[in-house]
Amino acid sequence: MAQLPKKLPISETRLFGMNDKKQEDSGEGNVSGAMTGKTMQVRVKRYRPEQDKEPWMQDFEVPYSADTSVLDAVQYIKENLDPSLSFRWSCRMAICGSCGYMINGVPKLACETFLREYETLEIGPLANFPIERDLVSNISGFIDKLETIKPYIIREAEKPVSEGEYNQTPAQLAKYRQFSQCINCGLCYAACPQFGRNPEFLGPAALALAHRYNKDSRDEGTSTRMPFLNSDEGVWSCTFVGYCSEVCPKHVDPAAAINQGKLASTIDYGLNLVGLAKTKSSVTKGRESKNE
Amino acid sequence: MNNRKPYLQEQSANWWTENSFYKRYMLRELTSVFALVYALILLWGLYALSGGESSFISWLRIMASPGMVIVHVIGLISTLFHTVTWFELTPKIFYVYLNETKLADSKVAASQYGLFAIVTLIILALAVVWLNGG
Repeated sequence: MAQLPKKLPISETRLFGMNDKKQEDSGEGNVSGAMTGKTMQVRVKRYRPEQDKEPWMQDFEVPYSADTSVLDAVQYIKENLDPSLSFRWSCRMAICGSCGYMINGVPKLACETFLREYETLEIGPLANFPIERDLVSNISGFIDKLETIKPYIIREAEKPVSEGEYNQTPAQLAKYRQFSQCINCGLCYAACPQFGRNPEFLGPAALALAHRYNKDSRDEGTSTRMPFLNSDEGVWSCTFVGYCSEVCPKHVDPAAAINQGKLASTIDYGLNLVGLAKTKSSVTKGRESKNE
Repeated sequence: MNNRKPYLQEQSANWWTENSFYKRYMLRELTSVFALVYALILLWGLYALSGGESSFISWLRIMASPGMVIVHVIGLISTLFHTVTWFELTPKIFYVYLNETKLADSKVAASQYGLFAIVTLIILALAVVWLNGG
């Protein structure tokens, strides 16, 4: 191996697997590199479908330092203590939304949660979802819900390319931008007691996504999405617990989206009552109100 | 061979004891019951009033009993708590845009407290006028 410079950023020491001497030089450490001598007891929920009837807890002793994330810890367990442990992860920087687990009972992204914040640690798969294996949740029902609410721009008639783009002002963008930041990590579903009670509930992320398109000035599909919002599984299943917004790593505030959806649903009900919403003009009306 | 056997996680009956956020939510929902109880007490008073002077005076006497005073104090505290929790949530529903910028949540919340204070003062003023035989 080529000679390494004396001081490397932590991320690079991790890549190269620095030895103890170099670790002392940098003054910090991580689990896959050298240790600082501190260890933490980490309890991990295990479920191996081929041999377990139900989940059980397994204890591991994991060395850590100031920059050891929970994702680092489970990777350390898999590499050094028990290679059979299964978990999802990808980007390591709170972008992909893959490593959502229950960390001491709170839904969090493991890559942006650090051992230094805890005395002891208990890690489990996301609540309210079926457990596929160990920390891997089955989120396919959630993905289906995202598709259900037609998460794309719907136009009454597409204009030809020669007429150019659909322009949008910064003010029009501001009305939905926050709701478009979702990374589909599923933490909000693990936080939602209504989803826990009734898995048919469309849930925070899907309803926030519907709201995001309904608020988009380029979209004319509000009337085709309203039946989903109005249904028993739609916005009215939400009782505004608000914990979804609390755990959201991207500050999407799905509770705000859903409860604004209740307002939209009420208006839609009123319009239907007087026979205005079923006509084609309701689509145009939706667009006009969005462009105000 | 398909080894898939997803384990269904059931929601426990005491899910709401798991963290303080859930507990506060349950307290918010519970305090609405006291608002209902107080509304029923007022309806009872209205019914007593329709029964003539003596029945209304006996209702007033029941209201002045120590037990009823305690019920009123609990009712006031829980209704105030309930109100505060909803004032906190209102900015999530009302996104107010002024000059193309969203009004800060704190300002939406403050406007509710302002309105609450004004309405309270008006009601108190009316009560004072009425008590003075105005």
